[in-house]
Amino acid sequence: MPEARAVVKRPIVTEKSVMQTASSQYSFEVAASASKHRIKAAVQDIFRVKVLRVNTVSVRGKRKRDLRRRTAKPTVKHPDWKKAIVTLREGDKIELGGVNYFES
Amino acid sequence: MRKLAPTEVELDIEVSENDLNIARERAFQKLIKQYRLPGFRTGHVPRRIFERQMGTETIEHHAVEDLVPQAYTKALKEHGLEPVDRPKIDLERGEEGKNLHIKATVAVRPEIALVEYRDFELEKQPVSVSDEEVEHSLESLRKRAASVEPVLDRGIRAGDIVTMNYAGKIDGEDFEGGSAAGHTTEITPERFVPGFAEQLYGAQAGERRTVSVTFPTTYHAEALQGKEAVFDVTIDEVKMAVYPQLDAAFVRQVSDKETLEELRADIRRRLEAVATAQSRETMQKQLLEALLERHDFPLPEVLVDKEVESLLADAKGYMQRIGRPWEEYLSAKGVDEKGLQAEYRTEAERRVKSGLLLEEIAKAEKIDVTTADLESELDNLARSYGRSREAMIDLIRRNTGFEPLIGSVRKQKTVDFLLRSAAVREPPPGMQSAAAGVA
Repeated sequence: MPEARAVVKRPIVTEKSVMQTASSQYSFEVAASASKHRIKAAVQDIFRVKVLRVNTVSVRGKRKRDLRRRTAKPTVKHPDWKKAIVTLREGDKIELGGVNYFES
Repeated sequence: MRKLAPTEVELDIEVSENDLNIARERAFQKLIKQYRLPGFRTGHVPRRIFERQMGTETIEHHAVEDLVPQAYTKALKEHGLEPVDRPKIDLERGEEGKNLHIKATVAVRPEIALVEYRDFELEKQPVSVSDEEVEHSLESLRKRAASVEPVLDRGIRAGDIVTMNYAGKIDGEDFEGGSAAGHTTEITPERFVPGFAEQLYGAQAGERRTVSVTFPTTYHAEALQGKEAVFDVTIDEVKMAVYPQLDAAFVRQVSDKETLEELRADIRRRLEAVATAQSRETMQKQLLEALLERHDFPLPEVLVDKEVESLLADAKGYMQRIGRPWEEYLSAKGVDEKGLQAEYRTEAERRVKSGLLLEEIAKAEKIDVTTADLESELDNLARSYGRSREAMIDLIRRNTGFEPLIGSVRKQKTVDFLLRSAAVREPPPGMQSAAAGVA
């Protein structure tokens, strides 16, 4: 389980992710080095559900201007991270803290 | 609906689960517009997520807040009730918070059986202004226009305005309030310790005098009663009030008129206007008195209480304006605050009763306040407050709203109506002098 927690970092709750729960797809931020297999194992372990598919995407951190920095290059790079969209077996649900965090 | 007292009812309003859910949804739709959450566009946060973040109570609270006045107003209409106060509202949840009982207790207008009110007999006070009254006003205008001029050629006389320094001693000792410098006052014997003013007569500016007096045993400062005091008085300045001549220059100074005759006529006109208003006032009083006597119905306690409060506040405001402590008012009337309240109660009851009666009559006679009525009343108010009409409207909107104003205009119109329908007896004109013939 501690290993699983290191792979799946946090659920992603946005308009888009909430919408996708309608088709049993749940989004998480995961460790950038995690493979689809390890993500699948981690999600199944934590939430006791059956994962059918894992899609991942490497999100490139945004470059933002930070005008507080008075150097020649006032840009800051937000860290890169990885997002995983996990498809569950039909009927399985993920709840956080006893509440169905997703789904509207 | 249950009657608790002749002027008080309790309403039990039930809100069904369905209506409650509709209200909840409406409350949520309203709240969501203001709610920001990262990852969602404003207004697009799903209800489940909103509730998880903010708690279900938020929606519940707003839903009830929205629902209660609505349900209450509807219930009032259904039962044909006219409340005279704000309701006291209790909420009771049905099982599992499914439905909601709203218990509203509120004072309502009593049922009033109107007795004939068009046959009052009133006595009209004759409006007359005597020549003496005109002259008296003219005289006070003159006094007001008086100028103060220094007197150099003679000593102090009664009525002069004197600036002086004095230092008083009792048995060679200074005493409190016994000394002053640059004190300006009118020399009137009654204003001083007996003998003080008289001993200054004839003194000129710059002169120094020693004045000996004995404080009367009735003197307000107890420590000084019956004591003998010696004052060392230096006269700084002697002035006297000079009244202007009654001539054209004076007329122009105090008015926009040209001649004395015009000014007199103007004064007479004003006095007559005041007298007319007074005569009307007396008739109104008679009318209301008769009206009150003919009717009897229970009065809503809350209204009477409020009226007592407002009378009390008026009296307190008055004392504050003239800069006196409130206790002084009570002691002058010889009552404590409780006693005063009891005293005001009778007057408050009269006001509430006549107010309710007038409203009832207005309803029966379909006396309505038109825009024109309101506008002319606004103009009157604006004039008496010295503001523009727009400023007045703004002021009313921000303070009391227009409801009280409309109410008071309606009452006035009703009184007018009653006065018109009443039989007015005018005592035969006595030996009043006509307005003409004043030279």
